[in-house]
Amino acid sequence: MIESRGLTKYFGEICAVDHVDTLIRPGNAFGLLGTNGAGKSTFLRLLAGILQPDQGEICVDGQAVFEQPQIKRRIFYIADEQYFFANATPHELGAFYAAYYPDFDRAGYDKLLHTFELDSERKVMTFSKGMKKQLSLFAALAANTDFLLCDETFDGLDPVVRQAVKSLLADAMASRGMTPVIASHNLRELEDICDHIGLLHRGGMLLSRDLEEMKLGLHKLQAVFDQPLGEADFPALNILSIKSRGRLQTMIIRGEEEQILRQVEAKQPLFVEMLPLSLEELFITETEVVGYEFPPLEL
Amino acid sequence: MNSRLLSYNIRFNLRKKLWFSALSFLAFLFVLPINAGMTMPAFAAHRDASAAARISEEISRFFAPGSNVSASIIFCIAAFAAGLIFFTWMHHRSQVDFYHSLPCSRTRLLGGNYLAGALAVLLPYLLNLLLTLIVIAAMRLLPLCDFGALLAGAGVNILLFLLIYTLMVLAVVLTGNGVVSGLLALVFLSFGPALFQSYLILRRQMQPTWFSTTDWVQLTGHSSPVARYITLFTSESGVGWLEALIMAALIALLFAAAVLLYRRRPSEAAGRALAFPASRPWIKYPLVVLCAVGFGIFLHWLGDIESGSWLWFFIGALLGGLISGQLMEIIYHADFRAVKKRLAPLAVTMALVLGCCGLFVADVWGYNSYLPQRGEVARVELLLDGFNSYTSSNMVNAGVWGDNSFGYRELRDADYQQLRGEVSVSSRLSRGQISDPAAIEAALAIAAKCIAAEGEGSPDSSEDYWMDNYYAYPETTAVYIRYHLSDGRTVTRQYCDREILSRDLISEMTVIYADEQYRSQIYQLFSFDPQRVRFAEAYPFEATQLVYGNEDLYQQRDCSELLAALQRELTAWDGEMMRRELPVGTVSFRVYADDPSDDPLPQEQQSFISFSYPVYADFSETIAQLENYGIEPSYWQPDAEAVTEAVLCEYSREGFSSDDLLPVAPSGLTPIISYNSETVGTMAAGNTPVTLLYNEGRNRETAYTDSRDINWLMGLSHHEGAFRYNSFAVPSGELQVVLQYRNSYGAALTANRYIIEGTQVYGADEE
Repeated sequence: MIESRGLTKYFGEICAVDHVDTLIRPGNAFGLLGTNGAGKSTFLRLLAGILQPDQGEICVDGQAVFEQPQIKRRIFYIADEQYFFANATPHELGAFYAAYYPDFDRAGYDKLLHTFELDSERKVMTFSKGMKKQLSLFAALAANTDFLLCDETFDGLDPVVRQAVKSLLADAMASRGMTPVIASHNLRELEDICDHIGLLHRGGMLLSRDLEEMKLGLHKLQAVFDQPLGEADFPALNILSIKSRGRLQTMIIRGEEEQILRQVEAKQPLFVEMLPLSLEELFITETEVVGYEFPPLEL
Repeated sequence: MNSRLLSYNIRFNLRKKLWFSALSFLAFLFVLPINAGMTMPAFAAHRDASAAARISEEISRFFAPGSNVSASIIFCIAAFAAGLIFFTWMHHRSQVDFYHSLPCSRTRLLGGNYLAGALAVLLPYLLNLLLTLIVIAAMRLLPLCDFGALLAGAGVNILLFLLIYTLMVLAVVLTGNGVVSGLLALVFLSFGPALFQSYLILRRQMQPTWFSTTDWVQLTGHSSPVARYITLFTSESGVGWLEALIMAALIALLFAAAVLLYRRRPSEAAGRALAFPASRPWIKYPLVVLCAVGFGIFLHWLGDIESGSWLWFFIGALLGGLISGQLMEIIYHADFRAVKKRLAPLAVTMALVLGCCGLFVADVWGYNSYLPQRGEVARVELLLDGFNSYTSSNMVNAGVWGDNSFGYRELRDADYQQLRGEVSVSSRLSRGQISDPAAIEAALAIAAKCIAAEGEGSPDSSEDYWMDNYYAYPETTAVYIRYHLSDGRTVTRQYCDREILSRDLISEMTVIYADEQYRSQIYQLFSFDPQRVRFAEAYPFEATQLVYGNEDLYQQRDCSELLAALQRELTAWDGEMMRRELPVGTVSFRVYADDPSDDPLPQEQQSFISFSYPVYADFSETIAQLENYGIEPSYWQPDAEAVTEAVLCEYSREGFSSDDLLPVAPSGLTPIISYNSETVGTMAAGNTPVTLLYNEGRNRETAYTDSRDINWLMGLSHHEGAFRYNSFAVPSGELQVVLQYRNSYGAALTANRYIIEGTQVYGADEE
């Protein structure tokens, strides 16, 4: 289990991570969402033991990560800006990681390389961006660590590889209880993989909840009224946003579904329907609540 | 697991930087085995037993850090490069994230890289040492190899390399980009020497009476490994066990500091100028102060060429501080606009620096005018370097090895250093012991005169100050005085920066020379083991010029009896006697370094230092001893028969030299019948009045050819060299005698003679 309490990190005067409390349970895929500059990468680097917190702590099973090799052996970190040492080949990389991770599965690694047609003797510097990401993921999976930290790793993978990697991750989670922590802007991907979502904004954790539980609390409703209605017409409802297209109004409302329907139906709509809420809509709505939005620009 | 991981880390890094090891190998290949292959054949050609010791020594020098300059330079460059190459990953965020995310402690990470970098240079070096030994063995010189010296030389090279390398690593840990790392490393390597030299120069300028016995060259050399290499190049003193242990301890300490700092180093420091912002003032302000002082010294030195003014120092210090401070801000922020940042703290710093310097320049503490009260002084040590300075004959010979067939010039620097130390200012000062109350009073009076003196004196105080003009009367003197105070303190001052005329100190020195204790110690030659004194030459002034034409009379015998005779007679000669008489010649002795019998070089190639002491006409014992050397007593007497003409003439003291001393007379002057009725009387021959006539383009003069006149003038005057060895007798600043004579070879020569100041010049009675 990964737990952070009051985790804070400053870069000069900029507070990149601001008193973040979170809990990542083992076996749960944790998706880390956030606006640009929210502190996702910083959070992952703190978790990987690269950065030392200025305040608070981040622990794995109750033990701090920073400068603790025995804890770091349970964590594999894939950075957004990857580094491969000069003239490295996948084969050399495997040998390198095998020296550091005692449970590194050389055979499994080679098998992955072979399956995904990555030449183990070709220099990594000649790989494309996507191939490099694949390589890192294969090394991570072969390391057999308890935790896998991915910083925008899925970006750059083609859809086929992405699906294959997802299933590998799922296998690892099921077979040995690996816990991936994935930071990404690709909300569609996260929706497929993750059980738990953390939403960072300006260094702070806006919310951290099970995905399903999050969706349960927030509803998207479309309705048609004789006259367009506003928030004031529904004083009992916590309406987060209303968008109108002609007489068709789309509302995102926080609350219980039954109560919401009751309140809306009381206004005798011509049409009403509850729609599934995507992670992207959830993200946008929640961040708009805290004022993260940009007005329409005229250039 | 941990040692396996460390070992893997080292091997991994070595593999990744194999090109660096290959370059190191190539570099050492040229300066060691190939160099040996080119130079050793000359050794192999000398097979006699007498050469064996020297060959062994030369082979040892080949491996010594002070001798194989190329190898030393490669070590310095390799250390600098290895520090950057093996740790440059700290300056890139992606690499830092990569390595810091690995399950490896930072200590092992740093240790692995450190060892890999060291081995990348040392393994090729050791391999090339081995190849060099193979080359030596191929020339059948291996039996002459001193393996102890070889290992010691290699060990010192390794220690110095590791010192530079570890400093470089420390610089990389403290900084966040390669350029700043390189700059900081240069600061580490040069700050110590720059600090010491700046302190030395500044102190000498601001407190010219400051006297230091510290070997500043050695001190500067020990303040930086690169400086240590340089001092090893320039001296043969070598590195002892203690120094080697200290170096090893220092390396361990610096490495520990690097590990400690690295463990605290924030990963986000990659790319920044400094990894620890708190270190910025600690790096910046000492550098600012040093640059300010350095530039101030530079402008002050330039200003002195014109008019000499401390104003240039302050201008330079201000500019130097401002430029260096803001340059560092620009480097730190990597932005030219940062030139306007942090001006206030810089202004405060500069105000403090300039204020402190101002206090010293103004000498608010009265350092330069220090003079203890008579009651405070228990005893005094006094040296007037230029007043009867017989030790100023600075003939230190550097022996040359054979016919240079070995390709090396043997400097015998250790002997040179020893001898110079034995005749150093501090050594001679300690011989000028004064405890007689009257003599102490006289010494204090001398100090008071020195403090009051003005004008520009002799070169700055240093152990290297020597009188250059062999024949001239030393008009000015440098004064060194050490007070042993009643409260146990010792205060030393020197007066070299101002014009102190020897003639102004004669009365005080007469009192001091009346002190038998002073006279018994002041002649340094007699303190040496007579076994070390192995060469003497006599120089009777008159005979040498008139008979032998500047030929020295060399003898090479046991000098102990001659030494003993001279010691007795010279020690008995006090100041009053010296005021009345001038020496008739000198005896020079050569003092060699210790254990001359162990020196493999022939005597003529060994290092020595020469002392020339005066011989007076009354030194009957000494003169009798010299007769055993073939120096006839008549040699000490002037021989007027060879003189064809004697010219009594006027001269200018400013033109006092051994050459033609007659400067051009000012135009418009007319001849007079007598120059000065008080000093010039009538001449014997025909009662001819002395007429100093003008020779066109020369001063006033009168020539005499009558042998009686010539005899009289020769009796009146003295050989110019005599005044060099007796500061009590001052040559007249107005009259001179120039002799035209023929030597024993028939060559026409000129000799200059001078009259003691105050001598009444009368004509001889006609007989």
